[in-house]
Amino acid sequence: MSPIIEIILIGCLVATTAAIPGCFLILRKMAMMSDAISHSVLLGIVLMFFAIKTLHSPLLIIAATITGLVTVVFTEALISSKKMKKDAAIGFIFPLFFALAIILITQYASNIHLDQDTVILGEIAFAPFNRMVWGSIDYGPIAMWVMGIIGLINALFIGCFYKELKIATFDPALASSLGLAPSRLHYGLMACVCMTCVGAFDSVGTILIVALIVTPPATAYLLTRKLSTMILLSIIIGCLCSVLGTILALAIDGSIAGAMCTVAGTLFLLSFLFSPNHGIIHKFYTQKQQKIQFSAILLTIQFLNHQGEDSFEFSIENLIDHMRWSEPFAQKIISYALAKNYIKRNKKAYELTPYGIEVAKNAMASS
Amino acid sequence: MTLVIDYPVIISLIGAILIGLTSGIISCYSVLKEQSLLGDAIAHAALPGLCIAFLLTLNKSPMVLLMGAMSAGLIGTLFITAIIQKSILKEDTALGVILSVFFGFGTLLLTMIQKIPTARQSGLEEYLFGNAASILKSDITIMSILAILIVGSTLLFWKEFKCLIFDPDFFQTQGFSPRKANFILIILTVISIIIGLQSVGVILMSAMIIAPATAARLWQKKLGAMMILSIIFATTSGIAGVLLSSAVYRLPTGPTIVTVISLIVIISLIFSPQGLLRQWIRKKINQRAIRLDSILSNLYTLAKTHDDLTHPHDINTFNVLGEIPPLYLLQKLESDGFIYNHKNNEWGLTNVGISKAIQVLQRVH
Repeated sequence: MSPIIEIILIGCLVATTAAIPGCFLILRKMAMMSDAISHSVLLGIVLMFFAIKTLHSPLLIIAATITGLVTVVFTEALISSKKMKKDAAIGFIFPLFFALAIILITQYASNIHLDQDTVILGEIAFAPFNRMVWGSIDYGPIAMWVMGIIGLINALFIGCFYKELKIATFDPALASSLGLAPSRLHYGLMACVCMTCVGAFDSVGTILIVALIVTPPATAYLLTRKLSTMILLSIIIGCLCSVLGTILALAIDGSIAGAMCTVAGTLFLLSFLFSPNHGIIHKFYTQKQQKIQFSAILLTIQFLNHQGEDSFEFSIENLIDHMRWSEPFAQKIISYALAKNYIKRNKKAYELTPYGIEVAKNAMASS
Repeated sequence: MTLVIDYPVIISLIGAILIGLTSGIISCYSVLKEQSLLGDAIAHAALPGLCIAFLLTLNKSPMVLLMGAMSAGLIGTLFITAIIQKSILKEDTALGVILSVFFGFGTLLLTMIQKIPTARQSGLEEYLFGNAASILKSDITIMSILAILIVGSTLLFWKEFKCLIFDPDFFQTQGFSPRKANFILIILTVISIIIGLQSVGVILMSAMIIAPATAARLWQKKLGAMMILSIIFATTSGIAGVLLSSAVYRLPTGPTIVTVISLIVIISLIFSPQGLLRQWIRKKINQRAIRLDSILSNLYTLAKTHDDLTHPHDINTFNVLGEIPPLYLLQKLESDGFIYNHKNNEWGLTNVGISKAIQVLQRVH
């Protein structure tokens, strides 16, 4: 395999692994927890690195996952002690852990493979150089295997507890009354997030993983309301980010992880604007449509009330004066009402059609 | 470790004091309004602004860079507000998306800038973790102006902001617009983050928006006193961070400041009047009082089956009613004159004890 294909593949694995727990995080309104976890796992990685002096050991993943869980436990303990509000508790623990990790790195570990830049940017571009060689056979980059295994664990966890997680997410009260142990599920999910952050530390860095955990599921959530579709969509979007991000990074010679985030952000913006059911352009259009329709019905009521009066009541000038509509808006409503056959032209003014009378009466009856 | 207070250190110290002053103030508003994570997002979102400002002007003067950071921070905030208002996504997701995407975009730009030959020494990386030593005298002028802006508007709109935070509905009935006031607060938040970027860095600046007020709130409930305390905490950690990082080789300023302010929070969390230690002691005292009361009421319940209410009972019979009381609690009651020791394990109520037990039972039922 060429290195570029391998990079894209690793990117896809990271994105898939991140998207699976990410969907549940944003549905449970805990997206910022991933930010806290991804920062604080660094402390675990650094401490374990000092203990065993290598960055390539499963022990690092275990230590970092534990640090991540410690962050979650501390944060929740602070929230439940009522000494801090949720936002402050989330935002207090992780900067401390992260700051300690950075101080340790700069004081004791500079010039080794662990420096500030790798921590933040990750270097997925170098991932293909660390290869898994067993005997004399090359099994591909280590990062691919690590992410593959973590991805599998995530998929297994979500797969096994899909129903339970779904209930615990959408109806926590029902979940606990059914004896589903929501808190154990919660920590399981958090452990998945921790492992994902640790596994991705090498390839996309500790902060950019947040983009892959939160953004593709958020994009998918704007497009669908069904959980299984949402998970599937966010995996596809994540992989798309990996492919397009790598291409973009190669084209402009920049950081691959940064480019992946940029693509993720662009895809999010696109679905925020153009999502068929929840995009703001669609919403804007429907609101406008509703306003016109409502105004047209008001117009029929107005005409009905003045039935048989002077023809001036049925002119555009009167509408502008009476309904306080602007002239272009009044024109628009008139043409809409004409098209809908609510009214018809009568010399200089307008009059209600029988259908229009019926519409006005219905509207008044239902209000 | 050698500490030399020379001219650059004094400049950094003035910078640290300005940061402490402004983030101490803004921290109170953010924490009380429960939107302190917005500071995290704004700080991260500032990175692409720094980079774009540099790419457009190829000028690394903080004035230019900070203007870029400010615009990016504001754009990020507007996006967050738009996402929360116009889509189904909740606040946390909006923050997470904007924070990570803006930051990711920023790192992409940063790697591109590093490839420009003349930009090698742009010093943009210093904004990631902050380096107080990079503050120059000219930067202090800008920082002072921004700080005066924050302090000035806080003093000028003291009542209005206070009302907005604690009772937004009343604020609106008084004819003010909460939306506009919130917007002003957000602009002030962005400014205070911008002031800190050079020393603390984009990644950890959020701690300065969260920690000072969190610690201060544990000591003081009144806004004015809380704010003064918050300023003191933030300034102390700023000064300590600058001094430590100038004394210890290669110690980064930002993480040091954050560690100090976090220590202040932890100490406050444990030792303040609202703190965990006092809460724990009070809990223990209450538990002890309840256990003492229950011994009396249990003895009374047992004695009621006899004509003589002072009739002694073996404390082992207590296991029917709950726990068997430990000896030290019995001795405490004895020394208070509520019970007497008949023999070995047998204890009975005294006359004082009987009336006390009746009181306890009346209070419970």
